[in-house]
Amino acid sequence: MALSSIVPLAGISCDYPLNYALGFQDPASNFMYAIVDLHDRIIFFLIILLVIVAWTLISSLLNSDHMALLNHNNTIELIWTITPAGILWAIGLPSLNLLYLMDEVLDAEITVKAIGNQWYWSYEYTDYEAPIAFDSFMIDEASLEIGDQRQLEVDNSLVLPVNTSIRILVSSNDVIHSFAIPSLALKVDALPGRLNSLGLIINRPGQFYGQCSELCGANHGFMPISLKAVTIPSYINFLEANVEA
Amino acid sequence: MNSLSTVGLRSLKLSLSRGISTRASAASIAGIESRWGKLPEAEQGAIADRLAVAEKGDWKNMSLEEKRASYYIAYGEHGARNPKDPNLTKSVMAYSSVFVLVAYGMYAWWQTQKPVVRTMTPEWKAAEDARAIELQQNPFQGAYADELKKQGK
Repeated sequence: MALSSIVPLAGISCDYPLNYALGFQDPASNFMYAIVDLHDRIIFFLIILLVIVAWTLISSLLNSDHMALLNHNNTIELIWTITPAGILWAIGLPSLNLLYLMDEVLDAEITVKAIGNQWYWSYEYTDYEAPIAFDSFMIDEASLEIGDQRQLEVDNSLVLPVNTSIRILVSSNDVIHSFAIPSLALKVDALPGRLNSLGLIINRPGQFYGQCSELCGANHGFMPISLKAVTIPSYINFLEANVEA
Repeated sequence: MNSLSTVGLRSLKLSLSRGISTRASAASIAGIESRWGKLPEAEQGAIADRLAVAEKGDWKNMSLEEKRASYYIAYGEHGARNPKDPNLTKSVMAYSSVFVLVAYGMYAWWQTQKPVVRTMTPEWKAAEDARAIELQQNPFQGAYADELKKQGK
C-alpha cells in the first residue's frame, strides 16, 4: 500500500507542467513568488534593450544613408557606457539580495533527508523517535491510471506540512543527482559524501512534481520527485500511520 | 645614327603625347561597354594599362573613344558596380521555400512513424484536466485556472 495513500486527498491541488508552457510553473512558496518577481524586473529591462537594438538593426538595414551619420560623439559614448552599468546594478542588486535571502534556513521545525540513488529517491524523517524511511520510484507508463502524469507519478511521495519551516538535507548514495521542484523554487545538487541544505516554506496544499536535474545514468529522466504538501493535522496523521506501519 | 635616334625619340614623344591611338587600340576599345565582360582578364588589363598611360598625358589629346573607354573602365557597371539581378530575391525565396517544405515533409512523415504514447491522447488529456479541476491543480494557469476565470474569481 503506497504510504502517501494514507494521506487524504480532499482539497489537495497538484502542480505539474503544462504542455507547450512558456512560463514558470505556478508558485507555491514565497521564494518562488520572489523569483517570478525578479524575473519580471529583469525582463522589463531586457524588453527595452531588445526594442532599442532591434530598432537600430532594422533601421540600419533599411536606411542606406546611415553611414553618413555615424560620427564621433563623446556624449553618446558616455551615455551608452554608463547606462548598461546602471542597468546591471538594477538587475544585479535585487538578484543578489534574493540569492542570499534564499540561502538562509530559518529555524527549521522539520528536517527531512532526500537521498539520490540510481535511479530513485529515498526520503528519511529522522526527527522522531521512530524514524520513517521509504523509497520513491517512478510509476512506469503501463501502470498509470487515466489522468496520471507520465514520468512524474511515483509510488511514495514525500509528505510535508504547509506553512512550516522545513529543512531538506540532500545527498546521494552513488553519483551526483539534483533535487529539483520548480513550483517551490527548489534545486540543489545531491552529491555523494556531502549534505546540501534547502530551506522551504510551502504556502498552499498540493502535490508538486520535479525531476532529477543532474545527469546520473541511463534512467536519469525517470526518477521524478513528488512532494505532497498537506495541512498539519494530515501530516500528523501521516506520521502516526507510518509509525504504526 | 643620330638622325635615326632623334626621329625615334621624337616619334616616341609624339605618340606618348597624342595617346596611343594605334589602329589596334582603336579596335580594341570600340564599343567597350558591350564587350568588356567577355574579354579575357589579360586583355582587360592590357587595355586598361594603355589607357592609363594616355590619361597621364594631356586629356585633350585623347580621342572620344578613349575617354569613353577610360570612363567605363573606371566607373562602368561591371565588377563591383554590377547591377543587382532583379530575380535574385525571388529565386532565393523560391529555392529556400522548396528546401524548407521538403524538410517539413520529412519531419511530418517521421512524426507519423512514431508510436502514439497512450498518455498523449485527447482522452487522457481530458482526464488530466478533469482531475485538475476536481483537485484544484494549477490555480494560476491551466484547466483549473480557466475554471476559476469562468466563475469570475
